[in-house]
Amino acid sequence: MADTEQSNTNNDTKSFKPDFKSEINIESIISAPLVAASKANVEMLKGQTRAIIDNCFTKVKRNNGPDKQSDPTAKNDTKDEGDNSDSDYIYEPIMINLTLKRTFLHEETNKQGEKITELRESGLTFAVPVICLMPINSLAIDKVNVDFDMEITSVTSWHNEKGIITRQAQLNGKISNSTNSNDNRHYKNKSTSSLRVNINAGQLPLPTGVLTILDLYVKNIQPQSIQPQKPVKP
Amino acid sequence: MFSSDQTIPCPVCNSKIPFDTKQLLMGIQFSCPNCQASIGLSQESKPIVEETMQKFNELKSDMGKQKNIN
Repeated sequence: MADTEQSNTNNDTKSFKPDFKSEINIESIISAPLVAASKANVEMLKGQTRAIIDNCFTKVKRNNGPDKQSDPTAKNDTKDEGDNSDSDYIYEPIMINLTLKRTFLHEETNKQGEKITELRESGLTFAVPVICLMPINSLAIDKVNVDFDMEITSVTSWHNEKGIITRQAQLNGKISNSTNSNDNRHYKNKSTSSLRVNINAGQLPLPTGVLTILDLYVKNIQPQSIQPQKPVKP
Repeated sequence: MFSSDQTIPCPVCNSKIPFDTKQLLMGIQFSCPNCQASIGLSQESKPIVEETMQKFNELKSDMGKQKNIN
């Protein structure tokens, strides 16, 4: 990027002071807002992931993990980690109970041989992770419009290294303001330059990882038919 | 980060039961459109869901405040 970059070596923070009067190549002008939008997306996703992990899971120490001292393979695989490294912990979902009630017709025969049909209610309690009840969805930047006017100041071109006649060109220029140049009689020296970035954030489908976790839990509460075991013949 | 169209599969017939967490917390039960089985939140789990919902709402309001500052 042609922007003047001042880096502070003490705390590794970088500050950018764009000088729109100097010549910038067109790739840098277009890519800078896109990179910023991409970084903003990553920050939002990080926040969402942290919120889900903090609120819907509990971090517990692994009980039946590999014994690092007795298991030689486990010792080789582990890097220089402290006693409380992330690999020693697992995230367990916070579970809650839902009750299911269902009415059904129950038929029975009384002592007089009469069939009695009555409405009965059966109940069932099943556990689901609290993440299944949380109204989560994903908000992310889905559209970035970059709008600027550019005054082309130079074109760099070069031949390919292998002698092929193709010529690649790079446009260099200055970002100019978008005033109409119809009035040629008055020349105004404008010191401002305009680069307009319009960002739209929309609701996107949940990330695949979260969907997979939800799908796993959903499948776990599905009823399974258990076949009666056949008696083993001696 | 919050969605309103939530469903849970019916443990009986696998149909999707639409529900709303806030109404579940108020004790409302939601019926399966296919088999009429109804699901509700058990009393012992109510504090856990309330606490988690409160944390998500705090996060939502924090995000709103940050948006206003920016």
